[in-house]
Amino acid sequence: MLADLSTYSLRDFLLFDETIYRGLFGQLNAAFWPMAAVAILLAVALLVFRRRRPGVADRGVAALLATAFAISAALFFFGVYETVNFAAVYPGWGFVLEAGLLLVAVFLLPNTGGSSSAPASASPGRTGVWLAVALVVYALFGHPLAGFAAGRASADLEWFALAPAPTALAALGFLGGWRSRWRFALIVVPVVWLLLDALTLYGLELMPEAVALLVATGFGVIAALVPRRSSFVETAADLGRSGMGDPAEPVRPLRQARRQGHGTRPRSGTTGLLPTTSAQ
Amino acid sequence: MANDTPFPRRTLLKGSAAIALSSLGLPAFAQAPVSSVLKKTVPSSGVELPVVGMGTWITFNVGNNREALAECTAVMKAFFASGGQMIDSSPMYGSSQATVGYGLEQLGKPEGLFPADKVWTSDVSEGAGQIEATRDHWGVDRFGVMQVHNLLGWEGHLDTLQAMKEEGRIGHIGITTSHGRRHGEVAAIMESRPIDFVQLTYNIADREPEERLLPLAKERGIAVIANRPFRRGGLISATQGQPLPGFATEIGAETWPKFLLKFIVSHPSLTVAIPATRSVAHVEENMAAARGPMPDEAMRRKMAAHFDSL
Repeated sequence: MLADLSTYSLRDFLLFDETIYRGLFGQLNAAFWPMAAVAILLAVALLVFRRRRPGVADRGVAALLATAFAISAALFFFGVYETVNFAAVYPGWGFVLEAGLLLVAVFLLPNTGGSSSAPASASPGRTGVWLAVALVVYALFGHPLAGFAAGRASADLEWFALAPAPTALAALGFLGGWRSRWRFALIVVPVVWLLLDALTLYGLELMPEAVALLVATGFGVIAALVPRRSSFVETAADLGRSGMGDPAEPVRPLRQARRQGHGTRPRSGTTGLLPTTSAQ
Repeated sequence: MANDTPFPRRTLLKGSAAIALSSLGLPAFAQAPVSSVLKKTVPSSGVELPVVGMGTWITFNVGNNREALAECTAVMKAFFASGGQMIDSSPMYGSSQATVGYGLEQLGKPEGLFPADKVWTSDVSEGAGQIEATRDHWGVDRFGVMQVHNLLGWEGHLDTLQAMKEEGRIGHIGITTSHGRRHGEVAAIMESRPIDFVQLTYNIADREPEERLLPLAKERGIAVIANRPFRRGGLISATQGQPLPGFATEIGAETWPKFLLKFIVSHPSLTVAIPATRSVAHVEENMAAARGPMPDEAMRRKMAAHFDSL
């Protein structure tokens, strides 16, 4: 039996054709489109709000993403996808796990400040931040448009919080703006699904969509891996411009903070895990 | 594509002559009256089946897509109207069984329906339960043939199926493989177990079964079902734009799908081919290939050679 595996092509593992696969999203959208609309509005609002109160906004993002992953698991994987693919439950449980981890991030991470050794004011830098923002915008709007450009009917487009791919892409984007090293744990499920989805699209011979998804995923991984800068001199200006920190709160150089007896621990109300230096 | 394409007078005369010649034991092009579907006999039981049936792999796995469900029902309707009888499915095919059941519920079950399905579980103890679930999906009382899918757990499952057959709960039992896999094991089972059907991949590009399995099937009195007759559309794509050979008109194959299907179903050991489609036009074209003159061995060699030259 194992020897037979070498005779299989990727297409042999797909139980459905491209029309039916695309139609799954049509079924989702027809029944649940208001959820996607609300989720997208919330995501945009949080993206804008982040410039003013990044700590609060990031907790809101984690909560929104947790909800989106849970909805996607319930309605896509355990819902429409399972009707044509009995293996859909496996990535479905992956999304449930991700929802759980994000929920933990909402409630526990703000209280575990100091678990990250990165200085509280470290940021991905301007380039990394803009890459993350761009990926979020792509997930919310660009990904559906890319599907339309590739020939999908408008009814069958994939939308954030319903379809798993834009949900995973949005997660990569938001997490790419995080300072905390927890982002590495939280990007695993999204990256795994995006690679599986790209393989599925490749197997269905939907090459433009597969390539677009792979490229976006690559940018998401890069955004997460961009080193967080520990230089305070440049960081303050960057934080102010990027909205990653509170522009009204001056960021003191580490050496100065130590001289003044503040040590290296984040100030009260701040965390080493959420990308903020302001009290919450 | 027309169901009852009028054949040229030349072909009708050839058909009549062929029937006369075949009665003398000489090679013949035609094996059936030109307007009726060619049928072949299941050796173990004498049941007659049209040489073209219908598969449901991929095409009928449509979940709850209402538009696709309607398409599949329309295909089944056209299939039955064209004289089709065998529909083949499997638990492995996602929601295909449920789609067939949906169509049968909409259309009613024609008298000649020959349900062909499979048991697909490595746990032999789950076989009977899975078959019962399959029966629920179809909404039928009895399967024409129940096959062990891809030889999974075949030893135990064949015992189960044999017992069910003796009880009259299924008509025939069989085994399946595809893509040319495990032919050695299939041959060993054909030689050692009393099966009625073997399903394998056989088409104008995948002719390996001609060497051993098809002659063995004839020798052992086992009916043969050919899956992947078009290699999931690959053969049709490969021949698109290529001109048909001149001799194709002698067998009424005015299109490549008919040419490809007639090659398969004209093999002396081959009982049924099961192309899958969600297109009414395609199912009608497929069924049309079961009509009219069929190639003899010499013509089949020419067909294979022509295809190989493309």
